[in-house]
Amino acid sequence: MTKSVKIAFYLVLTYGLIGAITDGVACAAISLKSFLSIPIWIPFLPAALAWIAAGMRGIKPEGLIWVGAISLIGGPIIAAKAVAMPMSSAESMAANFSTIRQALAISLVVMLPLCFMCILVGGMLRGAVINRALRLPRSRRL
Amino acid sequence: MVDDEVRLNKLAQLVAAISLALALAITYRFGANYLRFLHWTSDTHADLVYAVACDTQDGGELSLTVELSAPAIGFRAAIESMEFSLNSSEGHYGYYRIVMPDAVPLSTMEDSEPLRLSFSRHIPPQHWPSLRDSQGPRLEGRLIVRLYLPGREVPTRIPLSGPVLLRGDPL
Repeated sequence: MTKSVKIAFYLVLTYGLIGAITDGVACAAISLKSFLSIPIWIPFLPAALAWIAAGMRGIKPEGLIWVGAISLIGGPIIAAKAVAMPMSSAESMAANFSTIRQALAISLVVMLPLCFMCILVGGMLRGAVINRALRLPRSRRL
Repeated sequence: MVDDEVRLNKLAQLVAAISLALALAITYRFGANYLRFLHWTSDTHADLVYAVACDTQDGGELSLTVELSAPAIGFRAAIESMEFSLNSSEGHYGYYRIVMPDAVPLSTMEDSEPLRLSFSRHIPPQHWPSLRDSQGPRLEGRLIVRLYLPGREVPTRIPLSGPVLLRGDPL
């Protein structure tokens, strides 16, 4: 593996894992919505931001597909583990199954379109900045 | 151009870090409520202190005293009803439900002493003579406590069981 391929691989893995964690939080929040004291759309914000960040990072299109795949496969698994982890072993199997079923449905219906849309928005923002259609504020922090 | 790309990459890193921090904050918000609920359901238990059945003019009467021990949960909670069935090795003596006229609120903000509740229930004539003559009847039931979680109200069922003493049995 050349150095640039290695860097691209780690970038995809990093943004994919961030997407998976934030997607997992959104899926777990929907599964545990009885315990949610904030509006239901707020748990989707971190996942949307993570995918916008991946789009802005300048990862190649095939890499972005991998970012989406890692996020959408990892998210439901993380959600199921997080929901079932504090339960006793007798109950955790049932909770795991019910959460993963619900999380997969959310991933297909909500997260998959959201993922594509946010990655495209991120890519568009990057394109707009590079083509000088949009200017980033001059700041020492960025 | 190169400068813009570097700044864009840094912005992407910042947005990714913000998304992770936001996810952690959201997890903390609902995770703490969820863990408190699991702790409450595993540590709450109801004991049947005594259950005595005696004769009345039109059947029987069952008097119950139940003790409920529940840790602090932080949500509003109230005892709503009690459901139970009476059984012995010889048969089944009916299914009963006692609904509280006014839900009994539970102290859920801090750990408190166990709560003692007294109930009584009429036993209809079709079950009473057979229950009175039965050997070692038992009560199997559950206390229904309504929890007012942030998102919705959830009825939780706390199991309860114990022997039923009949009139004339030593207490």
